[in-house]
Amino acid sequence: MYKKMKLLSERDYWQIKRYSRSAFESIGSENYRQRLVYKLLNTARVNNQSDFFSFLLRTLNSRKGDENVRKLCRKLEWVYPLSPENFEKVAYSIIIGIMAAGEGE
Amino acid sequence: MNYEFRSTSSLEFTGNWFVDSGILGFTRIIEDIYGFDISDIREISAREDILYYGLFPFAYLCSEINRKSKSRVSSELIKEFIKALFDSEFDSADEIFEFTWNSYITRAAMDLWIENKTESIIFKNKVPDNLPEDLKNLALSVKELEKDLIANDSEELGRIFKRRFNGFKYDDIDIILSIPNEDLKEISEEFLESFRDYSEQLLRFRELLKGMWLRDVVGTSSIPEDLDSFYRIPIDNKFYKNFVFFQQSTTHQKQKQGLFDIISFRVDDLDVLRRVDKTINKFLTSYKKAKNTYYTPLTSKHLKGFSKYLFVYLISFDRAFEFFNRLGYVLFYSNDIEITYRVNKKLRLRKSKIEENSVLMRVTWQEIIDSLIELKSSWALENMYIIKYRDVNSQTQRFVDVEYIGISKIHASILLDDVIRDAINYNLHVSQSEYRWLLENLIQNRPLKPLIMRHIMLRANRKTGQMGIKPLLYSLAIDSEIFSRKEPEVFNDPLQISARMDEIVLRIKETYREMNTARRNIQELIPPGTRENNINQLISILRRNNRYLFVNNLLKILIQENAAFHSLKNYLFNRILQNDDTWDIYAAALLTGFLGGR
Repeated sequence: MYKKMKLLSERDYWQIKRYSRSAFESIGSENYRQRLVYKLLNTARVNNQSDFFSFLLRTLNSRKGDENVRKLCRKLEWVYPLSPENFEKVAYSIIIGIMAAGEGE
Repeated sequence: MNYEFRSTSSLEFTGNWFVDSGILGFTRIIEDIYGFDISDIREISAREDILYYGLFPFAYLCSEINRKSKSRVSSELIKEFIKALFDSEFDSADEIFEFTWNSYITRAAMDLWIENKTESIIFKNKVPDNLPEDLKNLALSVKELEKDLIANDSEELGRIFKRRFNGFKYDDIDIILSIPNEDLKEISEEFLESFRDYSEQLLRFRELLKGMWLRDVVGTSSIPEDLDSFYRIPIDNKFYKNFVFFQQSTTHQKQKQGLFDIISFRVDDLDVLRRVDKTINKFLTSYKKAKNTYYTPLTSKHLKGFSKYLFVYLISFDRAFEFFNRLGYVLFYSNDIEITYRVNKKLRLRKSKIEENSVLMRVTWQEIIDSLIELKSSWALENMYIIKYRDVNSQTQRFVDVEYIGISKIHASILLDDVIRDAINYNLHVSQSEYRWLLENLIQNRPLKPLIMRHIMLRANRKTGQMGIKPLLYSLAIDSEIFSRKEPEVFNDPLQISARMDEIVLRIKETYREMNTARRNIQELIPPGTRENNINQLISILRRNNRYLFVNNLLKILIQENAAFHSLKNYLFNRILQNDDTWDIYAAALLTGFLGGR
């Protein structure tokens, strides 16, 4: 079914970053997260949405019972689909969120 | 509205730019002739009558005479006048003026008058009907001798004056009177004799004129009525062409009265007002039917409360301007007399170097900044203008091509802050042989970031010895505030402008602090090797304006540098990723961290 692209606000990106951080607090080790961030940075660099979400969702799938993971998934579902411009902003918000996980803000 | 005369003439600006320009022109006339600077003039102004009825009219005439005459009014005469004026006792202002005009202005004007009469009677054949007989006869005899010379010796004269000789011109007079007898004798004895006859008669003619002037004009207040227009002081000013003082058809006595009316400003007398309406200032409308509302329908009666000596200032208006090659007539104006005086003086001193607008602006700004630092004054920078005009149309007396260069309130607020101004009062090395003054760029409302980027490249390649960070970050902080499109300025409540301007300075300082913290974190938490390896690539990405690639590369560096990432993540997210307007400026600030320096 056709879904209209949304206009995203600063608050939306901030939420995505925050949810990503909370979700990844309990996912994997720091090394694991670093490897994931590398992969995500490489896919974001070439604006490859499907690979980006494929890597991300595969990771999140392992923790789908976690409340924070569910929040992030719901938000991503809400923002989807994304224009290339929005995708980059969303992608880097997620990456910064993941990198921020593991140490209190 | 009730206007009151100001109690003193202490030379303060009125806030009205054309009256103020006149005040400046007035000080310049006094300074040019007597060498008094503005503080001397202020001191003298305690003796108001001496300044306005004595020093001013003499200086005004001298400056007009100097413009017209081959020789300037002698400094001895000027010194003698000052001494006599200050040493004498006077009962009234009228008496000071009479003394000044009769005893000194007439002496100052004598050579110019003789030059003018010699030129018009001998060389232009304009012989007035009422010319005294002896003078007329002498003029005729000079002309006769000239005719004989042309008839007999035109070839020889052609060689001497280096042209095909049809008759003498006024400009030949110096050669006529100075050519050595030996040179003439070489041609022939007869030629020497007739040439000497001619030059002696010419000298006698001039001596006769001098004698008449000394007899009828100097030291007397009663000039023979029939010769009154003959004795008119031959001055002319296209700016005030219609003013009785400069009219060709006027008389000596009317000139004197005209100048006195201007100074005494007898506004109750409508005739006086009529004489000094639009004829002395284009901004005043005529009292006659044909009104000249070029600029404003002001009449002088509306202005009479501005200043006790308003008309003195108005006829000095044109002297405030200085002519610059290729630029025209230029005046820097602010609402502070000290600063206006100083800047214009500096512009005049550097006149020979100023031939284009950019240099004019640079010199102006350097002086403004110097004065600001020196005087520590909190005068408002906001009302500053460069007023330029190309010419005055001699028919309409209108300015041609007037330009006002205002300084915006934003820039003024920034300049008035000592910390920010000091930081960007800096000549930045931007390419191998080029330095740019950051302040100048700011005033010209040009972004500073391009200069900072050029400097960063130079520094990344170790091609400059400059190591400062403050000028770079303050420049970027200013750019981020000035060029941010967050708040539309149009239609904002004008009453809130000042408050917003104060805010902008605070915001610039806050931004500076934020940028500086980010820079320091990079410098302290990322190893020098990593910084050096990555700086060129980041510069290149920023120059291509690719925000996401910049973030991508930076994050790749920061994956390995956990502490650095955590101290930079908010800056990265808020100032770069989320900031569509000025992310590049904040990114440039991060690059300074990769450079090192203080």
